[in-house]
Amino acid sequence: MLHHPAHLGYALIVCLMIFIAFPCTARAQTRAANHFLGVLSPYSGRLTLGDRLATHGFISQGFLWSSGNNYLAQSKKGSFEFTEVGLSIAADLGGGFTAGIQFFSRDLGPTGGYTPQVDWAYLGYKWRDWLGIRLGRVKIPFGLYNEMSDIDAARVPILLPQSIYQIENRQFLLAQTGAEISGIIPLARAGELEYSAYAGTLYTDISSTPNINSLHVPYLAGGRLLWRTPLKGFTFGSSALAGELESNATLSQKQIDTFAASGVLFPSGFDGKIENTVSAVFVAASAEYVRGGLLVAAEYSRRYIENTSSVPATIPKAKTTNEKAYLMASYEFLEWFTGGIYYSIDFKDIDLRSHFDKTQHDLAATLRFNVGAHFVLKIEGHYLNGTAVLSPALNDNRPNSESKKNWALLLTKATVTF
Amino acid sequence: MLRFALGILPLFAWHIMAVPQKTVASENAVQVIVHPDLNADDISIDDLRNIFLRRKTLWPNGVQISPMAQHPNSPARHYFDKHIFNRSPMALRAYWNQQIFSGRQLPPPERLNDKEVIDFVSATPGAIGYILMITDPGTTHVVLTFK
Repeated sequence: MLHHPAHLGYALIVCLMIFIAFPCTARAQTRAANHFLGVLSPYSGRLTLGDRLATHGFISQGFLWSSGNNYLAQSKKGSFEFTEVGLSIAADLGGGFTAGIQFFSRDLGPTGGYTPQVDWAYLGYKWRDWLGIRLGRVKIPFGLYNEMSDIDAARVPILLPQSIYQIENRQFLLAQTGAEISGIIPLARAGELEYSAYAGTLYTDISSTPNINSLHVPYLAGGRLLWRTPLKGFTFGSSALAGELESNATLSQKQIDTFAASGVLFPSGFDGKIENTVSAVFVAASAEYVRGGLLVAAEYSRRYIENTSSVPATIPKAKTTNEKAYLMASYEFLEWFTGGIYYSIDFKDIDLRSHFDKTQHDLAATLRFNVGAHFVLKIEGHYLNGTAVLSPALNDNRPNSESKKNWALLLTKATVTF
Repeated sequence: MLRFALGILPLFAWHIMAVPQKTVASENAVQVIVHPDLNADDISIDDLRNIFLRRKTLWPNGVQISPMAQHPNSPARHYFDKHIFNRSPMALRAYWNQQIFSGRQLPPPERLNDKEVIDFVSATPGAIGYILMITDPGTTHVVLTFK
């Protein structure tokens, strides 16, 4: 049963999660460990060196099942290819300096493959509370939740509203390499402003992308402004991001023949090489209300994308505008139980709103169970109308216009943090 | 994958040894203490909230603030979190998970009991902590009490 390496991996993850989540609580063991390790003071399960260095981590194992269409993995027959592991080390270097690094590995259907990667790594300096700078690979502040889009324990839903926080876009929108300034500006009776502005580039792994020879991001820049109002619990925000992506690809002879057979006229002497440039501007408006165990959030986003290519016959010049929005609410009924619900809409092209393959309506409900301080279990159901988020590669290369219009998705996930 | 999982196994083993004994919440009130050299008599609840969420990091005189929390299962921590943050323990854990794993902030370090907090606060310039009302604050300076 466990002969396949993937099965062995799942079994190991489950064992580790049980191992962490149901620990023996003997005080004698704690004292013995403290005595043995001397400088370590892990009162709440964190590995700390003095008060200045801390190590944290998480492991998540999920399960996906869907009706009608495969989503993220071969989900129609049920898939455990939904695993995330993270390990972070952060240090307070004193004098306002901080440093940190997080390693991350995941398996999500055909992506990830457990390849460890650096999620973020930075050196930071906070001069005043209203001005700090971080250099390195830093998570991108966009909308309310982009920075926590892969931190399952920090939120109620398993999948954040996919219109704005699309899980497959992780490698493009999660973190940038460059500089960021941020701070909190008190506004006396008007509340406070939290701002961040950044500029840099993206380094993306293209090793698993066939045909792509190179991928270059000349720039990525943006910022976010959050206004924490004097009305307790109300936050309003706006975000913007602009960037350019240049790619260089080579079509195989088979692909050239397929295009030619479908009537595409290539320029004379065409050797299969295509240069493509994508310019994008993303904007978002956000609102959140948190009071006690209640959270209500709503966001609206537009994405303006312009595509130009050296061979318009294969990738035509195009300008498209995406429109995305969601409304989400959750309530903590008991300390160990929270329920949540959201409705999310995604129009991949505002000029084609009536096309179901360019549209995604998503109604989701989540139950979150906190089994102890460091172990979270979730179950989530989605009813989806539209096929815009589907990958043809996971659906027998069928165009999305031929996929099932109405479908359902069920997810479960267990996460351990330490 | 297997090698990666085995590589981080010792960290989990440490976690298991580190889980403390659960204590019973107390009805006792809490007093907020600072280093004896600090003049922080006008500290507000909002200031305290921002200090222990690591959103405010400097005293008005420019000295770095060193907040010291207590263990999550301690009576003083229960009382403090309930009155300062107006959020459930789960919501606070979610907040810190967000801060930690997005590389933003680390939560304040923790001490096991009142005596350890007093020792830290009295020895560290810029330090602030909280202890039960019934505990003698020693040489530290009491700036706020919750009843």
